[in-house]
Amino acid sequence: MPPKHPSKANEEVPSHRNDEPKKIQEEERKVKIPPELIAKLVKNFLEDEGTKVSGAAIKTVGEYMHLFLTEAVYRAVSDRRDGDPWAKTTNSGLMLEVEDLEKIAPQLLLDF
Amino acid sequence: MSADDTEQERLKSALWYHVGKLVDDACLDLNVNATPQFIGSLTELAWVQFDNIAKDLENFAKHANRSTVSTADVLLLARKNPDLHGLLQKVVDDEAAERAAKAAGKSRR
Repeated sequence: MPPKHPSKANEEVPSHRNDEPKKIQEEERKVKIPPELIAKLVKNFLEDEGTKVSGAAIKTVGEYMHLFLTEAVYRAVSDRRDGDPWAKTTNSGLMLEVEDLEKIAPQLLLDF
Repeated sequence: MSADDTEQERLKSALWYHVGKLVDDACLDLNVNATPQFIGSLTELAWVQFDNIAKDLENFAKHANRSTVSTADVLLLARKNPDLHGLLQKVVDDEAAERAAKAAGKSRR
């Protein structure tokens, strides 16, 4: 494993899946975890009742989790397709299993 | 089951639902499918990750003598991953620019 930028190749994956300008992609990104749920989840795990979380911070955590989850899927697929998640190989009916997640989880958690 | 446990279960179900939608979206792009077990495990992973980052964020804010978690604290989460840091920095900058534009629009009126 390259120690310095372990996820360099993979990190770019979710946001550059085709050559469209980034702006358009962001607007097209309809599927995301609602900020209200993010806020509830974060507050659920806070230890101190007095701690508050700013709206911008919630939005950023939302992006963080979005990247985390997307990255998990891309890495799992990448693993099954020998490093290229888009490979048009014969295994187009690929089913992601728990074992695929188990394989990529340790490095994923180190990178996030 | 206590009321708190029920609330935890409800939150996890909500997370599960949204993780499922997100995974389906990503799978569509890559022409693959994910088993329900995959989505369930990923939800569990995300749940633990939320636990970790919430406590980190709280401690970062406390360390800076603040009681409110700010975007600076979230950026600290990604301090070990320059690529992730860059992507989050962009979100923070966009958000700040949006707010500034809104404020300018208001004061003009």
